[in-house]
Parts: sequence; structure tokens; C-alpha cells
Amino acid sequence: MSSLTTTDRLKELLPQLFNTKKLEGDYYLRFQLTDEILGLIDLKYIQESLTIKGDRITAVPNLPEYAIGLMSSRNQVFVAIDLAHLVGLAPETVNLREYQTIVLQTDLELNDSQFDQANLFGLTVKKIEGIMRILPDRFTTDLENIPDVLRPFVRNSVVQKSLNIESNLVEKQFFLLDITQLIDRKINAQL
Amino acid sequence: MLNNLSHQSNSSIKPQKSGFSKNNWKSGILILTFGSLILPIANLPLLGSLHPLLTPKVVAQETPTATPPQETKLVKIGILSKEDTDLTIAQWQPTIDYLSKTIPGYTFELVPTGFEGMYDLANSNGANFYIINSGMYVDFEARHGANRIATLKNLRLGKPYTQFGAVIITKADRDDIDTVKDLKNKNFMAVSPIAFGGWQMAEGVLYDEGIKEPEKFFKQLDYGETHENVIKAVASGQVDAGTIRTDALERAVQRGEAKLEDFKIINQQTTEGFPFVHSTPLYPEWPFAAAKGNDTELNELVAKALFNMSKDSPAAKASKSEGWTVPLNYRPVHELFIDLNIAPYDEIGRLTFVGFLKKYIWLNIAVVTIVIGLIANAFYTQRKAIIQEKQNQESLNVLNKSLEENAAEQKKQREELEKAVVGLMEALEPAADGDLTVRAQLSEGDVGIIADLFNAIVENLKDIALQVKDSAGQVGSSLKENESSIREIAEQAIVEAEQIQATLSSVEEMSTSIKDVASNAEKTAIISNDAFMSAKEGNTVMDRTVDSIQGLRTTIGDTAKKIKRLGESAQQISQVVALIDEIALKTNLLAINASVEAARAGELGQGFTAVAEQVGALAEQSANATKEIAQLITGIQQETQEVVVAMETGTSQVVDSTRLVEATKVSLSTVLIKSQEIDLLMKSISQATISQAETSQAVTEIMMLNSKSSQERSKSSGQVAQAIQSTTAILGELQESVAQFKVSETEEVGAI
Repeated sequence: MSSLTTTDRLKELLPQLFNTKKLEGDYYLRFQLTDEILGLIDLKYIQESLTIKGDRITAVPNLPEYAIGLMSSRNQVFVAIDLAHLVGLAPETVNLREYQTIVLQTDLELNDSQFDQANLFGLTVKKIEGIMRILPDRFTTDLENIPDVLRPFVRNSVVQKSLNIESNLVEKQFFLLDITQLIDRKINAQL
Repeated sequence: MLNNLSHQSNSSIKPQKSGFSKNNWKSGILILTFGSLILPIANLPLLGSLHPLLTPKVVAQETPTATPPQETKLVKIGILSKEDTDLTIAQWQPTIDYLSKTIPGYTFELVPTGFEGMYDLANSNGANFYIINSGMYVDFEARHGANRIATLKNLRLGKPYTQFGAVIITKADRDDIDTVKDLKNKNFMAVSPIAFGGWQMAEGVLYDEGIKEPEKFFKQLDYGETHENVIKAVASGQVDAGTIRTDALERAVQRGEAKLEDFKIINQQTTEGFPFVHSTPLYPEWPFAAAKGNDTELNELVAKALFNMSKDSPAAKASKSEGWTVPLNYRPVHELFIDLNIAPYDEIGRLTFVGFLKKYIWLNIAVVTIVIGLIANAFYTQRKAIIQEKQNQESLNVLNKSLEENAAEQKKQREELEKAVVGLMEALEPAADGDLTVRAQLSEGDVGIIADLFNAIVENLKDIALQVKDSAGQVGSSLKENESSIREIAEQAIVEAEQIQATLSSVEEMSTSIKDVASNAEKTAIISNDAFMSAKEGNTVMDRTVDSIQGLRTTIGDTAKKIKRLGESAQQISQVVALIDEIALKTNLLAINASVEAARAGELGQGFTAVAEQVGALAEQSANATKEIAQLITGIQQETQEVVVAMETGTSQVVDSTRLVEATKVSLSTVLIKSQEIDLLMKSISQATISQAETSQAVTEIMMLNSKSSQERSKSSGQVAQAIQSTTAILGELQESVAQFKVSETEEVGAI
């Protein structure tokens, strides 16, 4: 093994990197909204994901209740919003030492040069889990278990089988959030 | 054909008669011995009458030989011929010829003769050798010194045998006769009273069964002369049973004269190697015997020739034998004859009174004569004694007469003296009763002197009596005083002795109880010593316990420290894990951002997106792993906490038990000290009791001495009292006897 060159070892360890085959399905960001509710956001709306310390969010007076404060990333300032509180799943915002934040940019028509004018939101969630690739036909409209407060912003859901810590196979249902709808109804309407 | 007993008895008695005549000279010697003792008293000419009977026989015995056969080298052989002399000659002449031929220098001559002739031959030493039956041989051996040199190997039914016996037969259909005892009161037939196989053997069997007198046991005892006659008599039922020699019946069967199944054998015996039926023990066959005084060389030559005789030789064939063998032991025949009281043993054993009278007639006459002589002697002596006594009586009568005359003279003189004495006595009689006032009348003569003397004595007596009376009175009064005081002393001494005795017993009791105390104290001392020792042991054990508990304590302390360190390490690990978790989260976010950027890159970012996806997955996995680690660490921390708590409890318990052990140790050492003190106390008690015991022993001894001396004192005072009492009694007697004396006219005799 040691005789192999670095490139060979890379090829061996990460064969996908050198595989130019197109992967099927669209990418979604997977996250925990609360302890029970799992959510998905289409990757095209995602600017970045980050953790931000509580003292890096500046509280601003007269902001709506769901807004924790103002935060900055990549030379841009935007509002940090408690998503759970926004949709009405938590009674009030919580102050944490560190927040996991999904940075959204909703205006998809903008190109890179117009990035400065982009409309950004920082949505804090319980936990950002990762990226998930899902084929379109896997989505169902089964929204039976969805809380009523979320119903206006959710079109589809997907059931994913995975192993938990105890190595038991469990089914998790992820709700795909309609971001534009959410922002129109909850934020723009109030602003 | 058959002769009965009376007819036969003449010939049967013959050999016994010769024995009888021999007995006569023995009896003669006996009588001579007695006669020599008797003659001086009985004065009987016994020897003279005995002499003619005695001498010829003695002389005959003393001159044994008349004709020495060696001179002509003619050797005579006496052969017992039972039946026919011609047959006997035919049977034995070849043997004689064989001997003459085999032994050079000697001519052998056959002398066939019957039983009587054979005895005559033996008595006159008429033969050098004898061929006789075993019974006769035994007689010859004992009486004439004959000695067997060979035994006949008699041929019976084609085989040689050196032994034979007898058989008692009856008819097979006689169910009433099964044993010898059943023959009682039956008609019995034998061959001849002197036939060894034909009667004497059977007689031996009867003897063994306890039948000593066969003539009385059987209803009738006949003699058939030959074996064939006996067989025929039994077969025809003429007699109930009979006896014959062993092979006779088998021979008769072979001749066709009888059938074996017609007969029944009484007291049947079996002997190994002996095929013929027999009822008696087996006895040796005929011997070839040498006479006494034969030349030994001749005997040897004859014996050699006989042994060398071939069984096919004409001599052997003629004698119906296979020749001769070494002589057998004839002891059984001797024993049989001893039992049956047959010559040579007819002297010992059954001696009936009549037989005794007959045999020892001269001895008997002598004894009777002695008795008569003794009686006559006794009569004579008695008569002589009576005459002597009569003479003595007469001389005594003469002596008595002279003595009577002297007595009359003396009587006269005595009467005169008596008169004078009576006078004196009458005068003095009151003095005998105690009257000392009387005086005798003085007269002439001897009596007068006595009277004067007497008067003087009475006077003196009177004086003495007066003195005695006075002094007795004085002694009496003083004794009375003393007696009471001594009696008191004696009583006091007795009381004292009793008290000392009581004290002694209580001192003894005290002594024993002190001894008990001493032994108990000793035991207690031993027990307390044991307790001390065990307390000591307990103390050392406690020390060891304390040590080990302390060791345990330090061990627990160390363990607690290590556990604490483990907890701290777990804490550090959990911090590291948190850090890793954070890194994983950040990696995940970076992967997401990478994906976002890749997605923006469009077609070009495809591969990168996949890598980012995998990086994200890895980050997720490491996050999960850290979660697991965190959980495990939490578990470890919890358990460590529990262990720490338990350790603390343990430590406190150890401390408690250390304290307890410490306290126990302290109390144990207290016990130790106390038991030591007890031990010391006990020892002192023991010593004290020992000295106490010694002291009490000493007290006891002293008390015993006291008791003894007081007992002695009491005894001696008792003795004094007794002595005084007896003295008083004697005094009383003295006074009484003195009072009997009358010393003055006015006093009355006996009044005191």
C-alpha cells in the first residue's frame, strides 16, 4: 500500500471524486426543526450553513418577535430568525451560546455579481444534519402527521429509512418546506 | 456225620490240659511260699504232700532236649494234618523233597500229625520245623519259642493270598438273622473248636460284640468237622447259621455244591485287595516256623529255599500255593487269643470262681488250714488268761484278811482319843461361832495341853478382834467421804473426754472443709490461669486483626484515590469528546457549504458535490460515534461515582471496625489484668488454705492427744472409783466378820 502514490491513494479512498457520472436526484438540506420534527430545504435556496455564537448576534429593538437579532456573514448583514418560533412551534425564542444557522437567499434570479443585493435570512434550527439527495418520485403528499401550524408551508414529505445509535432501523419523515411561501406569508407580510 | 459238642470236647480240651498241668507247678510254688509262712503255726506237713506233684514236672522242664537232629543231618518237619494224612502227605511231600534237593547236606523228613500229635511233637522237641496253622503257631511261639521264617502265599481261586479270615453265613431267606446279635438262641455250627478259621475268628467277632460265652449265647453249638459240612448244614437248614474260613464258600460254589445267592453273610467286612466274602478281620496265613534251638544257618538256608520256590514248581502246586513269602506279623492272632482266653493266654482273663477253685486247689487247702490253725491258737490263749486271773484273786483275799485285823485295833484307840477331843470341842464350840469369851476346861493329858494353848489363842484373838473393829470403823468413814468425791472426778473426766471428742470431730470436719477449699482454690487458680492464657491469646489475635484492618483501610484509601483519578480521566475524555463533536458539526457544516458551492458550480461541481456528501456522512458518523463515547463515558462516570461512594462507606466502616477492635483490645487487656489479679489472689488463697490445713492438722493432732490423755484420765479415775468401791466392800466384809466375834459378856454374838 505504501508503494502507492498519493494520487492512487486518493483514487482508492475517494473513487467518486474521479467518477464523472451524473448523480440522480436533487439536493436538499436536512435539519431538525424541533426534537420531533424534521425538515428539508431545497439546496438552491441555501447560501451557506454556519454556527454562530450567541454574542455575535446583535439584538435590535423593534424587530418582530421571531427575529433574534442581526448577524453578518460574508460581509452581509441580515436577520437571524428562530424558525421554530416563526412557524409557531415554540412559544418564544431561546438564547443559546451557539446557534446553527441556515443562510437563505430567496431571490434566485440574481447572478453572482448581484450578490450584494441578495435578500438573505438566517434561520436558526435545532440541528443541521446534512445534505440529502432525493429522487423526485420519492416525494409523497402524505402529510398526515404534520402539525397544523406547518401545513401552509409544506407540500411534500419523504420517508427515509436509517439506522439509529442502537443500530435499529427507523423510519423518519422529512417535511419539505416551501421557503418562498414561508417567507411571503410570515415575513414579507409582516414587514 | 456231625458230632455235637460233648463228643468233640475230648479232643478240644487236650491242648488246654497240657496248659493246666503246667499251671500246677506254678501253684505249687505259690503254696510252698505260703506254706513256709504257715507251717510254724499250723504245723502242717504241707510240703510233703505237694512234693510228689511238683518234682517230675520241674525236672521235665529243666531237661529240654533229648535228640539233637543235627547229628544225622536229618531235619524233621511237623505238618498239621487236619483231615486225611495221605492228603497231607500228597500236599506237602513235594515241598519236603524240594527242600532236600535245594539244601545239600540235609535230609528233610515229613512228620504229618493231628493237633494232639503236634503238641506232643512240640513238647518232645520232635521236629525242627513246623508247618502249622496261625493259631497253633501263636501257641508254639509263646510256649516253645517257635519262630516264623516264612508265610504261605495260599492259592485261592487261582490267586495267592497271605491273609485269610472267616465268614459267618446263614440262609438268604432267614430274615430274622441280620447281625451277630440276631444269632442269640440259634443253632450255630462251626468247623471245630480249635479250627482257627473255622471257629476262633468267628468267636473273636462274637467277643467283640460282647458275647463272652458263646456256648450259652447259642441255643446249640455244633462242630461239623469240615467246611463243606458246615455249608451243607446251613444250606439244608439243619442249623440256623455257621462259620467257615473265607474262600470255602466260593470254592463250594465253584464245585457246584452250593449257590452264593442261597446264603447271607453276617457282619460282612470288606478289605481292599481281598475278593472273598468275610465277616471277621483278616489274619495271616499259615507260617513256616522254626523250632527253638535250631541252627541259625539252617533256618537261613530253609528260608532262602522257601522264598526262592517258584510258583510253578511242583512243590508250590502240590501245596496249592505260590510258595512262601517273608513272614507276616502274627500280632492280630495273639490279640484274638488274648481276647478269647485261648492257650497260650488261657491263664489271664476270665477266671470264674469254680475255675479258681479247680486251678488252685492246693492253695485253697492251705489257706483253709491256716485259718483253722489261727482259730485254735486264739482259743488256747483265751483259756490261759482265765486261769491266771483266778490265781490272782485268791492271793488278794488273803491280804485283805490281815488288813481287816489291824483296822480293828486302830479303831479302839481312835475311839478313846475321840472322846477326849469331843469334850474339848464341846467346851470350845461357841468360840467357833465367834464367842471369844469362852475358855476350855483344863485337864490332864495331851488334850489338856491343847485346851491351855487354845485358851491363850482365844485371848489373843479377842484383842485382835477389838482392834480390827476400831480401825475398820475409821477406814469405812474416811472411804465414804473419798468415794463420793472420786466419783465426781471420774464423771467430770468422762464429760471432759466426751467434749474433747466432740471438739475433735468438729476440728476434723473443719480440716476436711479447709482441704476442700484448698482444692477448690487450686482448681480455680488453674481455671483463672487458663482464662489468663486465653485472654492473652485473644489479645495477640486482636493485634493481628487491627493490623489487617489497617492494611485494609490503606488499601481502600489507595483504591479510592485511583477511582477518583479514573473519574477525572473520564471527565477529560468527555471534554475531548465534546470537542470532537464540535469538530464533527463544523465539518458537517463545511460539507454542506461545499455542496452549496458545488451546486452553484453547476455541471462542473457534480463530483465535488458527491465528495462533500461523503464528507458530510463521515462527519455525521463521527458525531454519532462521539455520542456513543459520550454515553459510555457518562456510564463510567456514574459507576465511578457509585464506587467512590461505596469506597467512602467502606472506609468509614473500616474506621468504625478499627475503633471497635481497638475498644475490644482495650477491654481484653482489662480482662487480662483482671485475670492476672484473680490468678494472684487465687494463689494466695491456695497458699493460705494450705497453711490453714496444716494448722488444722496440727490442732487435730493436739486435740487427739488431749482426747487420749483425758480418756486415760477418765479410765484411771474410774479405776480408782472402782478400787474404792471394792475397798469399801472388803471393809464391809471385814466389819461383818469382825462383828461375829463376841468380845465381852454383855455383847450378843452376831449383833453389830
